[in-house]
Amino acid sequence: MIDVKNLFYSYENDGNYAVEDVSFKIESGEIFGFLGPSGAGKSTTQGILAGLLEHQKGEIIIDGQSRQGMPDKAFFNRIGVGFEIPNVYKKLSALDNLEFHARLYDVETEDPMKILEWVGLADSAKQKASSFSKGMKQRLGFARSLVNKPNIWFLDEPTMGLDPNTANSIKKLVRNKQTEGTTIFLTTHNMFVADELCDRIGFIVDGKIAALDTPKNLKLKYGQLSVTVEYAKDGKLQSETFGMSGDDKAKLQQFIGEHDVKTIHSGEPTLEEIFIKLTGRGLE
Amino acid sequence: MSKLSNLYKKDIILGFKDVWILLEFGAAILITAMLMFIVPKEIKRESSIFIQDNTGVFKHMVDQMGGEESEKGGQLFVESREELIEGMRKNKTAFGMIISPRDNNKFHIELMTQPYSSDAVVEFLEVRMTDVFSMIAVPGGSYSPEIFNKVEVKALNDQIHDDIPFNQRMIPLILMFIVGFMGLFTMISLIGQERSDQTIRAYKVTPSSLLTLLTSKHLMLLTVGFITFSIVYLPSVGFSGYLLALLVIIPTILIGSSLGVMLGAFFDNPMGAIGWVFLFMMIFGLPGVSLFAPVFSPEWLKFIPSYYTLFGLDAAIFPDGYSNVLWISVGVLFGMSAVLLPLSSWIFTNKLRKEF
Repeated sequence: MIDVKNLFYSYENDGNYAVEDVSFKIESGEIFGFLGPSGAGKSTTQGILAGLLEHQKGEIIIDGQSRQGMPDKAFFNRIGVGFEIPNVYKKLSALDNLEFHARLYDVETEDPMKILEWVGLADSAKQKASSFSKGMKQRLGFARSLVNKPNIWFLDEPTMGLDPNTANSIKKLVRNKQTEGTTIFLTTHNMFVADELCDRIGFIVDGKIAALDTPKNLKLKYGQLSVTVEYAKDGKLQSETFGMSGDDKAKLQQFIGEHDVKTIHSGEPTLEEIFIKLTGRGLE
Repeated sequence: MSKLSNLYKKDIILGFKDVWILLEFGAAILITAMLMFIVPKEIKRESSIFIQDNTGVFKHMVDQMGGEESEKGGQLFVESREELIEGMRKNKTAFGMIISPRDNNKFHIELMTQPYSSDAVVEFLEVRMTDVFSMIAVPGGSYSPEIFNKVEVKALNDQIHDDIPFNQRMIPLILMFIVGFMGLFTMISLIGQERSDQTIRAYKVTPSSLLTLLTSKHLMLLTVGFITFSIVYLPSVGFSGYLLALLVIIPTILIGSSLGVMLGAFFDNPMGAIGWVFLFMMIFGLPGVSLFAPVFSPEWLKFIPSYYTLFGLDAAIFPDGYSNVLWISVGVLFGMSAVLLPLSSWIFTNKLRKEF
């Protein structure tokens, strides 16, 4: 549905690229994620696709149609964008923010009160956004991105700054939207969000894609399974970790035989570990 | 004492980086430069007197003295009252004198002055005319001062209100700044707020155009401007000239708001643009000097939009029978706004397209 080929972007038009030769595809109804540290080029790529930044070099094909220049009105009518920074009108109430935004579209829009219920802000509908906490503003911005019932949804760090409960409701909402057929492109530096939500993930650093696959395949391909054994020694609980390949299995068996083992846990590699392995950089 | 000096040192270092202090220095430099290079050291009064001499007496006197008729020479003889008035209109330092035939061996002299001539100047002229005529050589001797029948003094525009209160004289200037060009600062503030809150980013990903966004802000400023204009105008002046003055104010607001859009494109907060706002305000204030001291009327003032605002408002509020000033001002202002509105929109949309 979204096909990006050889995308380049330079903020200063001087050959220093924030996005360099990036190519990927997002299938219809898929949740696709870009995982990378700050400044990796995640938001820039998303900005180009969403029409926030001019399309400098490369090809963007949406539903088989190649885009030239800035997107047209039809495109903006079908996308929703959730921003990293809550950018709502502080002097308007939550409800007024959504109602104002809804009137900017030429298509049928969602009932603002319904959206506010989804994000847990229905009770604060009439309150000015200036009185909201950061998390509430974030939720309001997220709610705004749903106003036009988008079938392409861009989310930039959707759970950043949210408490675990709220983050979970947001993630649930994202999955619900996917079941309705919405194509979702999200960017994050949080490996848990990427792992939990995304059907496929692209690792991006310094403007380039280092790897692209499903979370499971990335772990299988680049990660190493491990087993952590907790045992009692001198009245204290200690632990030891073993790999699951080669000689490590034999060592594990021997260790179990020789020690007072209390617990055994298998562990799979985290996306961050794989990211560091592939790129040499962390996610922070 | 060391704590005080420590704090003073810190304040000096930070202060010299503070925008308000830099603005103060900048304003001082700018005003000094204006005083030295723009405001003239003296306003040359190449005063002339236009004379319609229906008796031939004064012309006879001038011929006797060997004077030549020339505008530069100080006096210029004209054939009609209309020619005299036209001459005085073109030369704002000129006076006029109409000498009518004797009535019982007496003269009737009508002195025409510019509307802003002070009483002291007028009295001086009356006395001077007395002296001049007492020197006229006529058959049988010179005329004594008692020969004068009447010296009537008229201001050039006899249709103006002679006693316009000074506080009303300030109204064009007040309207220009508070209503007309306040839009400049307000527009920067409005756009700056959208950019710093990043609400403009959310707007950019909707099917509504940036042009629509700007149009709504221009309309909002026109609405606010209309209300402010009415608040100032109606209690001070009443309904006289209200609609005509409004016709001047509307394009002025649009010019101010268009300049605000252009500055808003480059500065994402109002404080960043404050230096430019200050500069614009100083430039727009310059024609005010000409309004209160018409002898200062260099041609380059007419390149400043506020010139037409001030003189257009003056003509609307204090009509003097010469409506061309008003309509020329309205025409020029609408013309300027017709250029600045699309230009500012183009600059704004292109600038924002390159920004994230």
